[in-house]
Amino acid sequence: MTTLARTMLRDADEAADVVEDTLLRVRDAAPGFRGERGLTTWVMRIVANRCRDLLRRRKFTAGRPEDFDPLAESGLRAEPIEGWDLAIDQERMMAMLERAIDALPPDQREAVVLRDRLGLSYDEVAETLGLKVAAVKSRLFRARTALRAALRPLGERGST
Amino acid sequence: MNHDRDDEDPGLTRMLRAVRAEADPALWTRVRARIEARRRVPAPLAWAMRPTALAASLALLVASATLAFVLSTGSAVGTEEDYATLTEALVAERDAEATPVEVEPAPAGGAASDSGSGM
Repeated sequence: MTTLARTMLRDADEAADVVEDTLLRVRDAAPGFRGERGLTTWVMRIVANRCRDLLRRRKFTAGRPEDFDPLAESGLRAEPIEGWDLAIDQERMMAMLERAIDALPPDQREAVVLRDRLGLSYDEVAETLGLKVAAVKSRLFRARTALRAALRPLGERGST
Repeated sequence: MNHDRDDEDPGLTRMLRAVRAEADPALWTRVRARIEARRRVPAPLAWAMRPTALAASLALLVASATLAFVLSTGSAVGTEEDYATLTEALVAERDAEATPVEVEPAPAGGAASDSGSGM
């Protein structure tokens, strides 16, 4: 929940509010929960909807500063990756990836976070976002293409 | 273009999965505090404070105010002639009082004088 909210909003405080609201909502609605949908998808759907509302409102606020650090601002932490090619600066690569995620449209961003970051299945992502699996795959295809393109310059520099 | 194929990139996925939110130890404390705070508010007040209830009462207020306005203006308008100013209304009223009402005498015999039948 927190990972999704923080990646979507890039604001640790706002993300904390979303997670708190979600937990309260889950607690209130728990007696009526019949388990037709998975608990994970139900909870993630609440988080995703709240994030979307906040992002919609944010359209009217000022943009981000140039030195914006997506990882630090959102309170996310990058674990060291095993078998990482030492020729490539992992920290820089991760920062670049986060900026690229940040530049994605929200619908693609939430699909990437749910599938690739949190490891939900395609069915679960589709259920969470209220879409068909084909639509999820389409969004993921576009998102991954954009992310790969954003990372290409650093990867090429590392391999040369 | 066919997007229906699985285009997962293991390298990209590995990088994406390496990033996680750090656990927030105060999260549950804050949630519990909010639950406690909600418990302290009496149930009817808590119900009335819900956004839906607030929106419904606001809509009701606007509707009743509009209805009251329409009814009050509706009763005032249409009883008398419309005058632009109070002075005009007073002058018109005075004129109406000063002008004697002329009553036409009823025609004798009940026949019209210019019917042409007598010539």
